[in-house]
Amino acid sequence: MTRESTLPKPASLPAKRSLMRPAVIGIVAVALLVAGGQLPDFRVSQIASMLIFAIAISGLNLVAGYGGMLSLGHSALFGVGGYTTAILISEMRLTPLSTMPIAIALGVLVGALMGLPATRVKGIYLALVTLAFAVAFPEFLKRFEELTGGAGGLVVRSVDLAPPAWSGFDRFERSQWMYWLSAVVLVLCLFLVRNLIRSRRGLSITALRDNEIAATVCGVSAARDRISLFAISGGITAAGGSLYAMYIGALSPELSFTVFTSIQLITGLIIGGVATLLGPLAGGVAIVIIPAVTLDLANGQAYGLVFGVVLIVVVFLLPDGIVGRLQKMRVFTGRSQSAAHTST
Amino acid sequence: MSLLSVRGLSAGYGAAPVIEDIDLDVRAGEITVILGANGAGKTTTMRALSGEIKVSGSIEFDGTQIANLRPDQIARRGMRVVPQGRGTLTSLSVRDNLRVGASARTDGDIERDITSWTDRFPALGRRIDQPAGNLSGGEQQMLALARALISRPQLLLCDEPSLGLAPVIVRELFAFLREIQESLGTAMLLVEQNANLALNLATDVYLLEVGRTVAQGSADDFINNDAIRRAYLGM
Amino acid sequence: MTQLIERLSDGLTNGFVYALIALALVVVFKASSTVNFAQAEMALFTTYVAWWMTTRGISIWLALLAACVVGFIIGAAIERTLVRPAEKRGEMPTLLILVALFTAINAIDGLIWGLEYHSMDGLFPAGLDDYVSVASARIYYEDIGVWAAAIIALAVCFMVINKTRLGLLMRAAADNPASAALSGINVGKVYTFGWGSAAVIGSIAGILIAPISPHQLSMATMFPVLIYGSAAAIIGGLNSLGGAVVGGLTLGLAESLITGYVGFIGPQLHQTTALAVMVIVLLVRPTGIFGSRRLERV
Ligand SMILES: Nc1ncnc2c1ncn2[C@@H]1O[C@H](COP(=O)(O)OP(=O)(O)OP(=O)(O)O)[C@@H](O)[C@H]1O
Ligand SMILES: [Mg+2]
Repeated sequence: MTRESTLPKPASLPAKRSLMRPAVIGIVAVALLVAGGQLPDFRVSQIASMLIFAIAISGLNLVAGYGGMLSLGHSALFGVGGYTTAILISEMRLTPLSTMPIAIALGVLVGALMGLPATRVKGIYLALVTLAFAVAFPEFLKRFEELTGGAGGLVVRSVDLAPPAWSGFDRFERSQWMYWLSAVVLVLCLFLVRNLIRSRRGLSITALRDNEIAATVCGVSAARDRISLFAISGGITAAGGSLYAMYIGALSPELSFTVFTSIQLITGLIIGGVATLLGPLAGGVAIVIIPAVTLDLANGQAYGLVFGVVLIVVVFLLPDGIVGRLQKMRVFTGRSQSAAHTST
Repeated sequence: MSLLSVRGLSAGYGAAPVIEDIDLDVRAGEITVILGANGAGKTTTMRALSGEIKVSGSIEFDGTQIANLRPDQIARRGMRVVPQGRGTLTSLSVRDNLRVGASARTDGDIERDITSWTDRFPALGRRIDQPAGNLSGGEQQMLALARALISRPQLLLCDEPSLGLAPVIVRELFAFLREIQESLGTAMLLVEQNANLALNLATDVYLLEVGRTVAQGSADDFINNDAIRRAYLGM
Repeated sequence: MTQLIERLSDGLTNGFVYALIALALVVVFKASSTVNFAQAEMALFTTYVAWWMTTRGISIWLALLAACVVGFIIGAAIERTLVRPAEKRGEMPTLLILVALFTAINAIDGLIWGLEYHSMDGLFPAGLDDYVSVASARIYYEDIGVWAAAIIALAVCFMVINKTRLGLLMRAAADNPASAALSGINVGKVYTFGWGSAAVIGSIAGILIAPISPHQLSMATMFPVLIYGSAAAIIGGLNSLGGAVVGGLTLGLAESLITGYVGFIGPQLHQTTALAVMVIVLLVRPTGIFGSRRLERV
């Protein structure tokens, strides 16, 4: 590395770096995770919830960040993942992990359904359509009470949430298990998002966001791309929801899956930075910290206000979000991430 | 004396200015015309004068500085625009369009003026309570003129009033502008592609090319100067 | 028959309230080409203000007036200080601001007035005997009062918009802001006024619905009204004032008939049903039933 850097050969540098950089990032990430795992149990658990929200937000990021379509409906996708996992565990006696693929598949399905209108409407109209999903979800939960526990919610027995034997964690180390599991899923999701955005499909998605008419003229199929974007987004956010169910063990329509959850995810995304790969991670951290910090204020009632105020402040003062801002300041050296990732 | 006096005016839409360092005078009660090819910056000049885009330089109107005031402030000072594209309020009735034009007036004669304008343009009178979006292009041009003039401006800016009109209508229109100027003493700044007609109407002429004035003079100069005519007007 | 009349009466009452909120949304849309997600929460705030005044012994009618004034100020201030700067940044930032206001205002209500349900006095007599009989069905004065108040409010709105100079300026600024400005209209001021007026309409809606809402006066009172109101505005056409009224009344009536007569939907899927209709209308006829084509300002 040092030898290389004393000999500036621009043509050969990118090739070297493209191997070096992921390796460095990987080592740093693993080191951080191992260090994080040594923290007290409640901290580990808190970080796990940050990672889970980061997953959900990175799903939202696909649609709202890279796709430029504000969705108020991701609480429903999050809920589809969560309820699928919870129901399958308690009704079908499946192991938690084995419910995840099904949760993701249903998320993909509902996501695609939500993406269907996106082929015809956009902007505020699409926001209203997705709001419809957010509002419908809790109502459906109450309507199909036998399955979902209705307004009272659903509790998964903690024995059913024990880590699998092969993981090496026992049932009292559930925080550790959720922490590592969420980390792995998050990395997989980010990897998926990154590759998707760098692919041809990803290029056409951002092209559609920036100029629909020009992109369609260039042969980009708006309809297909939008539906698949929503579908993948739905899968990722549902994966987050599935993990959330395993993490929290008790679900209720009013507490976790209303439009306010969508607003939390959106706030996280905006704080972290729309259309940045790591923005959702920063956003996940933020939306876990905000309620924790404001818990002492006015019996926890203040956090809706804090979310709103933070969102307004960020929109005006930090429109690129934390990660977007850092990228613009070129904190991340090496191959410019911003070229592929920042919004314009 | 100069009603409108522009010095060192630059304006544009992004980083690079579209018009640069323009000097221009409109004398009270006279008709001034700006000629120039497509894309020369004529509309941009009009938008700069009317406050629709930010400018640098000085724009003095009737003795006061109006550079970078809002469009409505400039309009209320007595400078009205007939914009390229006519600016019809399509969902409002013809009558309401005229009322909007007169909305800065505080006297009680507005309804009477509306009648006198519809007498002048019977086509507007026949459709007075219909949505203005239903008017034909020529009728909308008349409406735009009437909407501007009903405010009794000191200076009227007209951006290509002849665009899309049949030749006979264009001649009528120019005759009408002349009549307004003579009867009401309204000064006018006109942008026109039709150099022949414009030179006949105007007293002063500016020639704009890629954002700069390349020639100016009286209309007679332009008509009589073969070099200018051939080089810039192609006639 | 008796039951049908009573259901229609209920539906009409809700429908008028939805119509008012839908009208407020349309007024805002005409000014800013956006849907004010915070409209109903702003109304909730001013309704709390009115309720608080009645607990101090002030007459409800005076409280209504005060709520309207407070509403106007809040609406105008939000347009001027938050929405207009956000608009310069684009559609998404504007939406984000409104979504943020939605949660922030709701939380403020909770902080100031607590989480309990408050019962609020209505504007009209609400005793058990305050009804007229129509074909042996009971139609309460309370409902008739809501209809009358809403009709008067709607009539005043339409009068102002169509018959006054102020309304002329509003219509011009909504139709073609650039051209209106060139005619000497301070378009920004007109928009600020529009947002203020919308908040006044919302305040009236809030004070009409709170006494009869199943949530009484609480943080949950206005969310359903927002859902029905925005569905009504979309169904009628976001830029059609008349459409908002028709949409609101239709939804109110349909809600009470469907709840009563369609078993599958039952009491749980109310809002879903309204929104499903909205989505279908959006997909089939994006301009709504009465809206005109030019929905997006160029
Ligand atoms: N809204 C805009 N944004 C960016 N550039 C613009 C805009 N409007 C005009 N331009 C550019 O400014 C230049 C001058 O345009 P302008 O409309 O002033 O020309 P014009 O002389 O009025 O032409 P025409 O005779 O065709 O009306 C052109 O190159 C045009 O591309
Ligand atoms: Mg032009």
